[in-house]
Amino acid sequence: MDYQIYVFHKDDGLTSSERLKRAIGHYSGQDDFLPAMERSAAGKPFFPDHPSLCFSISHSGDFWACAVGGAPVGLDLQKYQPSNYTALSKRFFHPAEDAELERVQYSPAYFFDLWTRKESYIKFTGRGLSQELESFSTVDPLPDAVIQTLPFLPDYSLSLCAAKINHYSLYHMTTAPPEEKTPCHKEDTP
Amino acid sequence: MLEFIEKIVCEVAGRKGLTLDTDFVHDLHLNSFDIMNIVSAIEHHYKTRIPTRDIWQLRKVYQVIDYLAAKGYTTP
Repeated sequence: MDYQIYVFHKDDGLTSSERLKRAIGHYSGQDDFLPAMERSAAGKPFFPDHPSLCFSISHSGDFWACAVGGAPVGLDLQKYQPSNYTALSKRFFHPAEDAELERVQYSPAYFFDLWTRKESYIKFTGRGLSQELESFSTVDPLPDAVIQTLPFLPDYSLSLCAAKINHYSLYHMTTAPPEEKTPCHKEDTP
Repeated sequence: MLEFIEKIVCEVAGRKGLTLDTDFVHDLHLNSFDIMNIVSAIEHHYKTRIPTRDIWQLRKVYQVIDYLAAKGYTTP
């Protein structure tokens, strides 16, 4: 399955809804296309009239990002923030993940890689935080999903989760002057 | 208790001006990492554990206070 990831700067003057409309419009090839949206009981947004149009939104630091594809997907973006990584890992991570983190002395970069991997998985499953974070490991193969931690900017981690990922494209969306189509800079799967 | 929650939120996420009706996600724009840091601070303070399945139901400040009260934690 192919996925497209759209990244917007939060200073672009757009609302979350407007960014989603641009992302869905670009993906579908229809400008200003944003179907009616509902939320599942666990809070996952979806398009009830377009079940094969799947998306996942995440925002952190200066950026808002959205993955779009034809099958369920989970995306998580996180800017590195200071915290007690050891305490959080022992509380919310699976023992296998905590062991991997301990091996790298709780490096912030690896901590946030694992954090976004876990978040992308619970977004993919749609169960959200009703699923105990420490109950599954993202450093071992998952029964129903694959996770890719993607190259992004320094001090950020970005992970994409789906049942299968054949290819992804990442678009850096920029605000266009009025009357002009929004340009974007595309990066393909490395 | 409101002041206690506000103090933790300020220390963890740098947000102030909470009311009982403040929604952590919609009003304060906190993400899951911020929320887990807040949960971890509350758990550490009360030496308790809040199951993650309960966390996503605690959307507003008053819901956290009610949840803690139900567990017997009525004072900071």
